[in-house]
Amino acid sequence: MKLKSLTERFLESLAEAIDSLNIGSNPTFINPTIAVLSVLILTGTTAFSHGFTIPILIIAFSILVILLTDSPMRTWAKIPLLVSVWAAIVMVPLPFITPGEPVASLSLGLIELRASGEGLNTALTFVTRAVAAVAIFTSFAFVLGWREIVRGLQGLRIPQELGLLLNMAIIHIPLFLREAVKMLSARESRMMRKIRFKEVWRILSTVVGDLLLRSYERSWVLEKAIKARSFRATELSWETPSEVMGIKDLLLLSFSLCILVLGVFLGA
Amino acid sequence: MADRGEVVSIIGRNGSGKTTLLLIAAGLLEPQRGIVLLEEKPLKEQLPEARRMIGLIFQDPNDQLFNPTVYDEIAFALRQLLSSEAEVEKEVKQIAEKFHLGDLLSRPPYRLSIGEKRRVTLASVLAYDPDIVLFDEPTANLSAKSAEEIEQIVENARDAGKAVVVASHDVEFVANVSSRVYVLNEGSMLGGSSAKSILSDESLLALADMKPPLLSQALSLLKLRLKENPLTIRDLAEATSVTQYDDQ
Repeated sequence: MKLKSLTERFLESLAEAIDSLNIGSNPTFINPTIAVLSVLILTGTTAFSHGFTIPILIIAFSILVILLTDSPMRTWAKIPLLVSVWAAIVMVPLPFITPGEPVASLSLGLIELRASGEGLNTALTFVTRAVAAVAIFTSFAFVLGWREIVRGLQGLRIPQELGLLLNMAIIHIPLFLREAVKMLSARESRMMRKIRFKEVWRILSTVVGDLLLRSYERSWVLEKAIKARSFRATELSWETPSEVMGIKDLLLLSFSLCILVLGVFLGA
Repeated sequence: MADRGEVVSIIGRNGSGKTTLLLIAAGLLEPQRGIVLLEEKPLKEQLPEARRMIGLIFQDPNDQLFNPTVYDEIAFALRQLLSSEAEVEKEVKQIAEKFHLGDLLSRPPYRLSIGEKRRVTLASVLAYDPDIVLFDEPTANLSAKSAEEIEQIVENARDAGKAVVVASHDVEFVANVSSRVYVLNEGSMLGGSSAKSILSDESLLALADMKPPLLSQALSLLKLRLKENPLTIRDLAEATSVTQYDDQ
């Protein structure tokens, strides 16, 4: 099916992307609870790390996870690469504003900018830390998928309501995006002349109103559907089945704890 | 309103209050007037435990499915009733086989076809074996084959001694499964009697935006009048076999 407008194509692609990320490339690869716990440990360690050792170790480990699970390396690599470019843009002023020994200078007519060695070091550390944090999270999100990540969070005993909300979001965001595409198509099918850019926004605003109403209506019915099958006073009954830890899970947890200890040791 | 081992249908035009009536009967909405009785006691006083006895199948399966996988959808109620996950798994697998959902257990329900979604909603409700089953437009948007499957499920539920209430626009379906029919209009009950008498009353059906079953229309066009006034092919087969027997 060829969709008409760019907006429709964008919304459809977004729904498609969220849907495909719901189920990972290898969802049974590892116990989701251990995976989420390890990701939290590793992301935290890299965020508070000094120097390059920890972030580089974590980036290497993320690549290993992708390779071991036969996940699409090129698709995954785009995200850390995009983040590295974004972080590099954000950190541009750092070398020039950090006090220290000047190592390079940039002359802009009347102004001369001097980059310090300490500043460059801080900037590079910032970029590697950001990339490492993104790499480890996205590698596990790719392998396990959003559904398993939520299951992992439930395994860590997050509030049941939060687990339910996250699951609902996973299910309903793509549904509503597709609903928006249908509504847009219905409106555009009644436009007798070429739509100008300004009109696209007007049409979109009417879709947003309708979408809000429909989402309210859907949430009302969903609440009834959940209640209809809830036999306890606490209405919500979302239980996470207990899962057995395998050798891979133990290895992952040990590695994460080693990195944490190393981080604390290097930080000190 | 409905006894065990009986199928009662509610018909009425759009907005007549059929869905609202089912939500009230399931204890999900409170009536403005009157009370709902379950086994001669007010339903409100027995909630939420009494929901164990009532199963509601919504008109749009998308409204009813809220779990990440088909397995979780069927297990949702069972996890509240059974003590171990092993028991839940056993029950889920049994019910999945019954509804031909065995291969779909790990799939997200919202990615299934409408017929499959309908089967998941039925499995998720019938899994906890409620005594009363409420169907809201069970054949809406379904193919003829899927509608036939639903008919079989409704009949099985009735034969298993459950009280079944169906709100539907599908006159053929209502004729096939119901023993009693009620007509609802703007929140008021216009009439209620045996399926045969209600579904033959053209003026009452017109109020519900419905026409008599095709067979009745065909017999009336052909100016044929049979003793039993058959509404379905099954009725006609029975009526004609009696006639042949008499001829002999």
